[in-house]
Amino acid sequence: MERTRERYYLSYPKVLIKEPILYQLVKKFDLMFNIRGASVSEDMGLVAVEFEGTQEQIERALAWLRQIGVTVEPIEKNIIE
Amino acid sequence: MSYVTGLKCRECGQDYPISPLHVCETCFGPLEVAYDYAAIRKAVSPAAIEQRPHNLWRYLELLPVDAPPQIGPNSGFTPLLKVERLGAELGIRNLYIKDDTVNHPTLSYKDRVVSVAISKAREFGFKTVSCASTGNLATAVAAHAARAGLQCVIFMPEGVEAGKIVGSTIYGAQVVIIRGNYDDVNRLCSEIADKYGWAFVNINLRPYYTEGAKTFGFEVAEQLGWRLPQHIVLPTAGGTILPKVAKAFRELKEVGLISEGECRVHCAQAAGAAPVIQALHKGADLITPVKPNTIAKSIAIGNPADGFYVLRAVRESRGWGEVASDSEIIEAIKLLARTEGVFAEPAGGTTLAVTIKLLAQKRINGDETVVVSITGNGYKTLEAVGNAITQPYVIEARLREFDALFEQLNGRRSLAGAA
Repeated sequence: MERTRERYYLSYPKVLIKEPILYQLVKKFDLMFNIRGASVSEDMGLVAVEFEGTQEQIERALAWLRQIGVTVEPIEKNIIE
Repeated sequence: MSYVTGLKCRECGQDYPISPLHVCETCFGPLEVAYDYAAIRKAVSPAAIEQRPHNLWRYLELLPVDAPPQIGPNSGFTPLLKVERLGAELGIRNLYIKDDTVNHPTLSYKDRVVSVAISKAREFGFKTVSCASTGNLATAVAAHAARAGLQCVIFMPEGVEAGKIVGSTIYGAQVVIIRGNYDDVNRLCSEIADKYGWAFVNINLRPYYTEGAKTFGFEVAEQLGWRLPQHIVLPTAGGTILPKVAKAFRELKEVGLISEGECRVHCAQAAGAAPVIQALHKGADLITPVKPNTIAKSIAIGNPADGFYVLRAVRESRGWGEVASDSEIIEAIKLLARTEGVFAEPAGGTTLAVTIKLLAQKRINGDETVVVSITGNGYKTLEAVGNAITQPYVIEARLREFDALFEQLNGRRSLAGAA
């Protein structure tokens, strides 16, 4: 399977800030990740991350992240203007 | 001659050569064009610029192109209207409208950013330009691509009105509708930009594209006689125009085109898509994404690419920001049209409605010089105000019918004033 790298911003709502989400992600989907930037405030967390895996692994991981309430967007964020 | 020195990461400061790159490889921060301001200072003067053609390229030294541009020869240099009747109604003595409803050729401020992006696309040798858009950006890219002789592919999410599609296909663009929600479209377009090597104006050409927005600020200052207003109110969607107008004002000082003055830069968002204002009001640095729900479709962006930089520019200038509800937006559109004969799209109604709030909050004083930014034309968004207009009278084609109507309405300003 061809491996690919994709770059995302993950926005965590307040209730998820203390959850070890990226750890769970690796365990569940066997993805590699590389954090390039992160900030946490009282209300939310923001992580800039690069995932490496197969397209299918990444798709499934993104679907899971969205399902648990993480906003997942390409690092370009909203580009539909 | 270009005065551009390269691209620089806005976060970590890493330098990159001029190329179709938009994100820092190290920290994923956005890249911005850097200039040799000392050299520009020696090359420009108000008198020299005033001799140039009335288009956005009159500020060539502060734009990121190598050669005299061929794109957008009639874009920019839109009117700065002193609006006495509206000013009297609101109680602002020196009120101006920067009127991009008449920008050439597609009647919105996007003609500025796209002129610069497509000029740069040609310099880089791209054959295809592209964007993801539901409105003004799509139209501007399609029209400028046609004139530049470039292929154009426009991506739109499912459910876009037929009229929006015509606004691109009429120029020969190929429109691709993507099934799925906005998140899916965003992600796919990022992947396509990466894989196909096209010039996506607001993705891989974003550093150049956003520079075009500075021309809005340059023009305001020049049209005020090379000085800054005390306040400018700008809409925020993706976050392009506001930080770039602030940058334009800084650059004008840096290169000696203006010598002094401070302008408070204020942000306007629709209440149904206000992630930046929410962060501003909370005093937060991070922007929590929202799901947009407003009639102001052209500024309905839930997670703006440059939202953080909007916050920073507003705070640095000691400006502020407010939201406008859909009904406030419509009332403001009608007020501007009724008093000044300018028909704005809902983004313009938003900036005017927010100006009125800032005045009520005494953040703007009626004696100060205020510029309200109108970035798009209401003729493109008739549906937004369709139910809010005064309905016409319908009569048979007989004089006595009109006589009866006139009698009925006599005393009302609408018809009696014509007698």
